[in-house]
Amino acid sequence: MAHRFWLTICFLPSAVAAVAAGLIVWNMPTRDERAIATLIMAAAEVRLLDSPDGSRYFSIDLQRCSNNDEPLTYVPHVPNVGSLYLKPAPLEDAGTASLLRVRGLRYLDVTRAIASNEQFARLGDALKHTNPGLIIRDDIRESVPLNFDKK
Amino acid sequence: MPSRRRVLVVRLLIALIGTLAMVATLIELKGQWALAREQRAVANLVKAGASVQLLGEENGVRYYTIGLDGCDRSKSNDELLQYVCNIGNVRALSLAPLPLREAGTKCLLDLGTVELLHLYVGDRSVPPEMYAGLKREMKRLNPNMDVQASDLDGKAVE
Repeated sequence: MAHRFWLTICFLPSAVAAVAAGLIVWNMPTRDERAIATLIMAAAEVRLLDSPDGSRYFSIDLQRCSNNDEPLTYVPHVPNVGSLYLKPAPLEDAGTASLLRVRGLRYLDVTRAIASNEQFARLGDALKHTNPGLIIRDDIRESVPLNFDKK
Repeated sequence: MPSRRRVLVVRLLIALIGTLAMVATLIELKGQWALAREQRAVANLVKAGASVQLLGEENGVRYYTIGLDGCDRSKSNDELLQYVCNIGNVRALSLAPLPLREAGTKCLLDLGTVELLHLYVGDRSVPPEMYAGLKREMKRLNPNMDVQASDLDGKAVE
C-alpha cells in the first residue's frame, strides 16, 4: 500500500508532464502553416493568387516588416511561392541564404539598396539558376509590367 | 542498505522535480495551444484565399483585419468564421458574398473586438431581414461597432 502510494506520488506528475508535452507536439501546426502564420504575424502580406496558367501560388510582400532577413527565413517553408516583394532595406547573409533556398519563384521585386552591385549580380545569377524563368525587378533596370499578380 | 530517511528524501525529490516539470509543461501547453490555434486559423484562412493582415499588437495581443471576400466559393461563411473565431482578436472583418447560417452568426456574435463589419445582403447571401436582426444585435453588444452592408453589385445597403 505504502509502496503504491509512493510510486504514484513520484511518477504521476512526470507522467502528466509527458502527456502534456505530447499534446504540445501533437497540436503543433504543420511547417507551412507555421511559416504562413509567422510571416503574417511579422506584418508581411501573404496572399493566395491565381496565375494565368490556372495554378495557384503565394505572393509574399515584406514591405511592412521590420527587416528582410528574419521573415525570409520562413519563406522557403511556404509552398508555391510565386512572387516575393522585399523591403527596401539591407539584405544580410542570413536573408540571402534563405532567399537562395526558395524554389519555384517566378517574380522577385527588389531594389538595389539591399546589396552592393556585385552582391546583387551574384545573387541574381544564383537565383535565376535555382528558379528558372525568374523575373527580377529593381529600381535601375527597366520595370516589368506589374500585371503578374492577378486575383 | 540505504536508510529509510535517505529513501524518503530521494522519493520526495523525484516527486518535487516531477511536479515542477508538470507545472511548467502545463503552463507551456496552455500558451502553445492558443498560439497553435491562432497560427492554424491564420494559415487556413490564407490558404482559402482570405486576406489576413496584422493591424498591430497591444499588450502582447495581436489584432487583425480579415477580408473573406476573395475566398474560394467552395467554403461557406460559417466554415471561414470558425477560423476567424479561433483567431479571436479581429478589428475589421468583411464577409464573403455567401449565405450566413446559425454557426456563422454565433461566431460573429462571439467576436467582441470587431469595430468594423461588412457583409453582403441579397438572395444569394445574407437575407435583408437577417441582416437587420444581426445588425441590431451586434450594435446592442457593441454600440461602437460600424456595421456596413452592400448588395452583390457593390451598392450600399442601409
